[in-house]
Amino acid sequence: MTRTLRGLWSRRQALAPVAALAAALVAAVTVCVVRGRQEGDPGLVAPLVALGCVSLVAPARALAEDRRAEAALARLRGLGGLRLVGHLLAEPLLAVLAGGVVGLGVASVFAAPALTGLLVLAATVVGAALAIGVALGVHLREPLSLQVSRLARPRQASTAATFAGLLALAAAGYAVFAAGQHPAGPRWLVDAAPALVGLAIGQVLVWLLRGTARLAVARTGSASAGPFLAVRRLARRTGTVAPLALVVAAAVTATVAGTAAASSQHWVDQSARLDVAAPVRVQLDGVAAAQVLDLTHRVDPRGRWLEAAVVLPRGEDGRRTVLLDTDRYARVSAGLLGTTAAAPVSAHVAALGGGAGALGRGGTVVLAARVTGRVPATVRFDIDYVTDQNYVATRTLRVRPGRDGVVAARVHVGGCSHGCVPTGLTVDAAGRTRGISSLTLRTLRFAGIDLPQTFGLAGGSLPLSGPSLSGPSPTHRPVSTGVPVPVIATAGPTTQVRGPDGGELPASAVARVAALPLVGARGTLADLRRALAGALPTSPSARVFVLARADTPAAVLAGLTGERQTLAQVHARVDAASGAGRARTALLGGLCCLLVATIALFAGISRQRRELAHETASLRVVGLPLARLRHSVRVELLVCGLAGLVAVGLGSWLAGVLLLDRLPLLDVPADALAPDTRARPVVLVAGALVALVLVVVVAGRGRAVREGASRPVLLREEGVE
Amino acid sequence: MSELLELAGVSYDTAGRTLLDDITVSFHPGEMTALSGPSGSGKTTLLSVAGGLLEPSRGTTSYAGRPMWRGNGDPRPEVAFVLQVYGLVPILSARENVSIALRARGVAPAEADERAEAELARFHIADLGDRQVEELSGGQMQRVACARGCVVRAEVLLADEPTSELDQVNRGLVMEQLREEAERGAVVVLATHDLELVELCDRHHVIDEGRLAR
Repeated sequence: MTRTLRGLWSRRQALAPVAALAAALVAAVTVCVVRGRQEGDPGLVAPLVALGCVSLVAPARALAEDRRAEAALARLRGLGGLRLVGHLLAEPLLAVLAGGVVGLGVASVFAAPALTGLLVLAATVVGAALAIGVALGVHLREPLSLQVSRLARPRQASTAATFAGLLALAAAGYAVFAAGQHPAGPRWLVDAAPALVGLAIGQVLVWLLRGTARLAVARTGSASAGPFLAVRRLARRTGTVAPLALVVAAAVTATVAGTAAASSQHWVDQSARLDVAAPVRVQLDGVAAAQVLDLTHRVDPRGRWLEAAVVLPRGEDGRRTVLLDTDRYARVSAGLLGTTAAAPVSAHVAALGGGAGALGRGGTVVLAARVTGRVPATVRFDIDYVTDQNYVATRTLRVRPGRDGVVAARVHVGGCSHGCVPTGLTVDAAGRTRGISSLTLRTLRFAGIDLPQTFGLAGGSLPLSGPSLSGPSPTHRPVSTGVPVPVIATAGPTTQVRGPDGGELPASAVARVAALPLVGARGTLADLRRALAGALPTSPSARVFVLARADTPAAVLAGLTGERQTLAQVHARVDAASGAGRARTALLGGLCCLLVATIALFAGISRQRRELAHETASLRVVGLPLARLRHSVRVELLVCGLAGLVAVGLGSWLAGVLLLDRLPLLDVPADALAPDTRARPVVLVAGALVALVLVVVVAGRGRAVREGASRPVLLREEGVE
Repeated sequence: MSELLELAGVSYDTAGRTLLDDITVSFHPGEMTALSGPSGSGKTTLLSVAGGLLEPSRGTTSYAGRPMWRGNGDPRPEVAFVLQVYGLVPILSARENVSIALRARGVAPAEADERAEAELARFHIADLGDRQVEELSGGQMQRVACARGCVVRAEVLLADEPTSELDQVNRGLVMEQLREEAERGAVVVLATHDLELVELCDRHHVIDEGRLAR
């Protein structure tokens, strides 16, 4: 044990990155497992576990490489097999254990790990033992003569390494395929898909980079020292290139998770806004549609804060209907919905209420007509309409034409203060009817409504000829069924809209939008007052709301008794119901992947430091100035950084296209707006920049060529006399 | 001013040990000088101090009156080394290892490659030019190191055990080339254990426990 501890101390520089990696892995995996369980999906940790396993391979190989000479000596002394592996494993496993315990401590700050943490620690130690054991096993199978040689020999990519690269590609392909199946493949595989795609992209990048560098060797024969050396280092050394794969994989994973989290956050925000429809929403029970309209107008007669709304359940066309007091929409709802898919509603809402003169408001009837032919003694106009109190009424005008046949009148009409709907018009003539040819209506405005236009009387000409006009007039046009209700609808055929009584009314879509307040992505919006006209008692299945602005005085709100919900409350409810926390946990896992990749990159680059120092010393001894050598390292890092930037950008975009709408990170109800899973340039650029910064800063620090540490005299160290 | 490589009262201490102790010696152009002595006697340290890789703790080293220590451990451009541990650059091929020394002195890449090719041929390893040095045997690496030291036609050539890995034939070949360098007018200093090589040199100094014994 003492010997092991001494060995641990003497090799602390090589073992410290392994311990740090173990600490990061145990802490990150524990926290993510605990968070994943809270979100009901422990599999969210799968990307981190996948990258964690890969991150252990390189240090394991390096540790095994470091112990080659020791292994050779032990073999010469007759030690071998599992006993030797066990002997060589003791130090690194102790380092992993120590790091893991530290990680456990860190995890306990963020979550209560308990048994989970211990299991993660045990799994990490076992994983590390396997990785290092396999790497040691490879070295122990080397011929002893090769193992004791002091000359380092170049190692071609082993069959196992090539196989591992191809395996990463195959695993990524299968994970994408599994995620697209219905039902999806194994959940852990789908959860791990971003990391697997990232690893595949990282592997392809490494192959491309090294292949390109090899091709560039011949073309840079005449280049200056910087590119000349950088290209050869990239082509012939794995130093910077190999850890790049892990960085790319982690950055792709984090970027995909970031896009998913942003998408999910955006969806929750949109859905909550659509659901609440105003800063404050009060649901009233046992209140009829007309009553809520009356209530809002009574409490807030100037329409400054309140808006009545009624939601009807699905009709025959599968759509829900929302009826709003559209005159107040702009003031109460439009602001809150301005950032949602329902934003275009405010541009069209004006067409719902008074559109085409179909909804009257006002108190007068203005008539101007002319009878051609023989002038009757009296012309009678019966205008049927539905009052603003939902009563059917008829306003009758009896007008005596002048000798020249001109008919003119201006009379009061009741029940139209809050809006009324004309439903029929009958024109009749009395006395001296023989010889009347027609009545030309120049003007017939009913509560502001142009009746000839509403009833489709082309040119306003009424044919009044006939032996008798005392019976039902041929001009009678019942409009309650003939004039469609203007609506704003989501995509799909829209021929009907439900009234507050649950009955179907003919509808005509004036605009199409992606989503509507209170009903989501499958619904129809109509004006409440217009829909109320002629409606029977409100359907019991209708939900009645008062929508209110955020600045509604408390006294006004106090007058509304019902379940009150604010945007924040609805947001929290939608967030919880949709499981949006899963996307945040996935993002946490992605960031942890970046942390692990950073440590692995630094450890990988640090291991090359001695080699780089010797290389630099060898070049300084032949007269190359340090500045040119530093330039070559900068070129190398820049190439790797830019390659990483491009790979992460393109890789994240590709992974997003392949995976984002397939990852089970959000439970979207059937009628809800579909999440926008398009790549977000900001997130893509951020992920790519993180990769660039990691490579340039972390690798740059690890590959910094210090003058004192790379003096040519370093080369005599092994042969000091 | 005489173009001598001179060490005057040079001592070198490190980690509480004195590796060189008050050494005064001159190496002459056109001559091959052998430095011999037991292992650990200070031969490599003496070459390092003489070539400007190490700063002497006391005393001075100069070539043609110019101090060899430049303050950063880099050798002067007039100096070339053949190192005991070769000091070859693993990322470069054998030819590139030789040509990089010429490029470092401002020779155009194409000409540098051509001269490197010729230098490898001089050491009978022209066919190994495209191989990475890690693929070469110890003897082949040592000849690449010799070619790299000779190709720049330096005024001072310091060779540390340049034939330790070589067979009899190649040892003779390397010594011939070093002799050619001396005949060209270079100061050639050779650290070796091999008494046969000592015999081939014009001068011989023995160093023991950091002191010049002869």
